[in-house]
Amino acid sequence: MHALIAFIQDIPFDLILIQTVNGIVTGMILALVASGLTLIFGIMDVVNFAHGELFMLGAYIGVIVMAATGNFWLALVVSALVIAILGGAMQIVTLRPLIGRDPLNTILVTFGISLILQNFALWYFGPIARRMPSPIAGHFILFYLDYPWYRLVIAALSAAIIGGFWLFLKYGKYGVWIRATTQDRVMAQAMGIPVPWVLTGVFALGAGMAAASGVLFAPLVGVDHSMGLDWVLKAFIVVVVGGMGSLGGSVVAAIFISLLEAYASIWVNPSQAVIVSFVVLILTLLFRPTGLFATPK
Amino acid sequence: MSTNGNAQPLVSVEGLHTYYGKSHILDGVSLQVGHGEVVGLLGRNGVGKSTTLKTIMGLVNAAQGKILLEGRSINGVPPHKLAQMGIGYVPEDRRIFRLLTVMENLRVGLDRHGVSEDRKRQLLDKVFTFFPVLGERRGQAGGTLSGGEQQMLAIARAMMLEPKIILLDEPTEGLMPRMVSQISQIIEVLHNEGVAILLVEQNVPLTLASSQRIYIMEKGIVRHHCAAAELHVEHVVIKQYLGV
Repeated sequence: MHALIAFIQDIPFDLILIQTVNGIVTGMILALVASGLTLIFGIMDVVNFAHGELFMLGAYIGVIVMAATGNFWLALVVSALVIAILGGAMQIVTLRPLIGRDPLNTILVTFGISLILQNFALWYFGPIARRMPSPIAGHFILFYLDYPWYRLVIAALSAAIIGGFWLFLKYGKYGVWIRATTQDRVMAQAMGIPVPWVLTGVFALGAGMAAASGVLFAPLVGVDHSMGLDWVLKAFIVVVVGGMGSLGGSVVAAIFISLLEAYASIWVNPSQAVIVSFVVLILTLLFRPTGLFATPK
Repeated sequence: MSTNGNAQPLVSVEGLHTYYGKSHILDGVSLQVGHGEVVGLLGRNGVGKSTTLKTIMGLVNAAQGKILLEGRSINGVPPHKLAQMGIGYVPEDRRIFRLLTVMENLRVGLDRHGVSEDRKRQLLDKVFTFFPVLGERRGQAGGTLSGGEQQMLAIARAMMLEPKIILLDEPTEGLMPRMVSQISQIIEVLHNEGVAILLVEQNVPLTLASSQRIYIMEKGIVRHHCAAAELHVEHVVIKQYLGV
């Protein structure tokens, strides 16, 4: 025990603070990706394997609009809208006919869509990553680091989008419809709620959120056809750990896992630190398979 | 049949056949409910009473037969459209939205297209006058209410749709006697408001007292039909089909 305390005391305090900021920033982007995923699962019982590709396509559309207009914020809005419409159309054509069927069908369909979208992006945009300029160029000094303001802006914007979405679910007319549909689809219909259109709207909303997170994240890493893979894998871990269908659970789990990874990066390189996420996933599945904050239906 | 002089029945069911998988549940059910009329549907457990309501509500597909609302076929119309057309449904197990507050449960039916804010307020006032306890607990989650309060909420929620008819499935099941008498009063109030009710109940005295006409089902078919005034609990028909 003494050795452990001594070991922790040896870590410089500024390094812990820097990694805490990093963890929270990454956690907020991850929470935005995961909240779209958990929304689609919680309400539709659909595990959307194409979520990462919607994230990637959103980033590409952001790049195109940015190149045409030079306005990042317009690119963010246009991309979210376009992918929301695409997501809605995708749900109507491929998932609506499968309502009530074995969940395996929807898994296979979304997996197929994911492959189609990824290969389409590779064919259409090519294998070379596109750059997306950051809308906020400034830095500030965080101890010995030049820390970009934009990273903090992403965290704040992600929090604002998730917060706005939570308010919509809590107080909006359609938010109440969505929550009613989540709890009892049959009675929601019997109360006059057009459930098939609610499901389409939810899928569109989740797709739009994936696109928004893709655009926000693009200036940090560049945009290529496989950029969605890593994020969606982590987002799935977050959704399982947070509790399938729990928005709050996803946010907490995203920040928790990102912080753990950030702290692990103090000792190992970041690609090895990813292992921490899988350890958390395995422990959750072993001791609390419904996730930490599962929403009862 | 009609209580408001309208000759055409509000709901008419003709030769309805319904299956669950290979099980033949409804075997040619026919019945009618007039405007503003309370009609009781009696029968032992498992004879298809609840399935009849679910089929009218579009929650179970009819394999054969006609369902008409004011003379217009509603076979195959999705449940949400039927709700908008004026059919309210209160299921056997209440099925309120447990995580939504009382107010949110009511809003689900209230936030419809074409309902003015004034009308919404009037409907809420009416419901809170009928069920004062719901007004007191409007911010409380539906799942935390007692069984009787949940039943009130389920009925109040259906009332938000301003229905022409409410399909009421075993509203007194599991309730204490005081609540049963309250449910009976609610049925009377709804009847006085001109709302038709198709009432499925195991409580024979309550059904006979609340209804104008009675249908008795056995093995997926209507076996007997008469005015409620012709029956009493000791009647031979009741003994034959319900074993009371």
